[in-house]
Amino acid sequence: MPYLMVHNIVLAITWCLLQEKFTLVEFVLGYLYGYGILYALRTVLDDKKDQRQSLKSGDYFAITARSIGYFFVFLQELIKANLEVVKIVLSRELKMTPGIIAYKLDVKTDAGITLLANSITLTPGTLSIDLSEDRKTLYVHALHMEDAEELEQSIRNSLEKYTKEILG
Amino acid sequence: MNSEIFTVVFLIAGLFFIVVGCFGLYRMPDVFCRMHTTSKATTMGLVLILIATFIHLGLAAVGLKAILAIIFAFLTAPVGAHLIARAAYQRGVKLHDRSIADALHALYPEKNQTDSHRDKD
Repeated sequence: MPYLMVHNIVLAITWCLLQEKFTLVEFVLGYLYGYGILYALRTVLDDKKDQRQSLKSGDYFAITARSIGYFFVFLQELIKANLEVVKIVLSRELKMTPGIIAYKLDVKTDAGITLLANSITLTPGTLSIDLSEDRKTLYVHALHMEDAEELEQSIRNSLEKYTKEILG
Repeated sequence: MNSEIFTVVFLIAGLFFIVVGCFGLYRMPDVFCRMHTTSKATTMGLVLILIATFIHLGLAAVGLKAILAIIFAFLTAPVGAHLIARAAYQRGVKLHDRSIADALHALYPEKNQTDSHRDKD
């Protein structure tokens, strides 16, 4: 967890204390205000002499911005996936060429693989089935296998790129 | 008044996706294809219904629980679909005849897919 997140939570709790209301709404509001304050002070917050700090403040803002970006990409893919499912299910004749492909993972961390596998399941025509022992290959079931290469590229260029930026 | 219209629209859309998901469960040829429709359409349906709940109840405690439920739905539904598909494959459930590739076969070579417990569908 980035150390600035702790600062941000402390600011949110302070806001709740000053408002004398401990509701979730107040906490979220306080968190947003705190985020704004920290962002305004971002140049002051980094201690240039202290090299031990593994995370600079910029990382916190960058990760937050990327997470929001990921959320919108994900939402877009989810809606596309659902429209496709509706189209397939309600078509008179089932036109499918299902199959399982092996997808080589770039993401290294466990959290990143989990997020990617979950996202793959909720995006158009793909379902993650299994992970190899060495955590390098993800087995993905696809409804349309006409072009396995293109499918792989589309995962690599959208979902995996964003997953990598957030969780490595 | 306005919020009521949105509530009804989201409810109807949610129900539509859940019905499509159930219909897909019936129409799809094998377990893996079935998991596609159930994991996507029913998650979307559930989330839309929860959004309708949130619009109707506003930022009250119950409405915020709807948001929490949306997050948990996104976290758990794909995991469930993944586990069912994985368990089915490890038990030796056959892929549909029209399937054109099976990269996973390399990982479980001992599963002879021809004389397996095939679920009658």
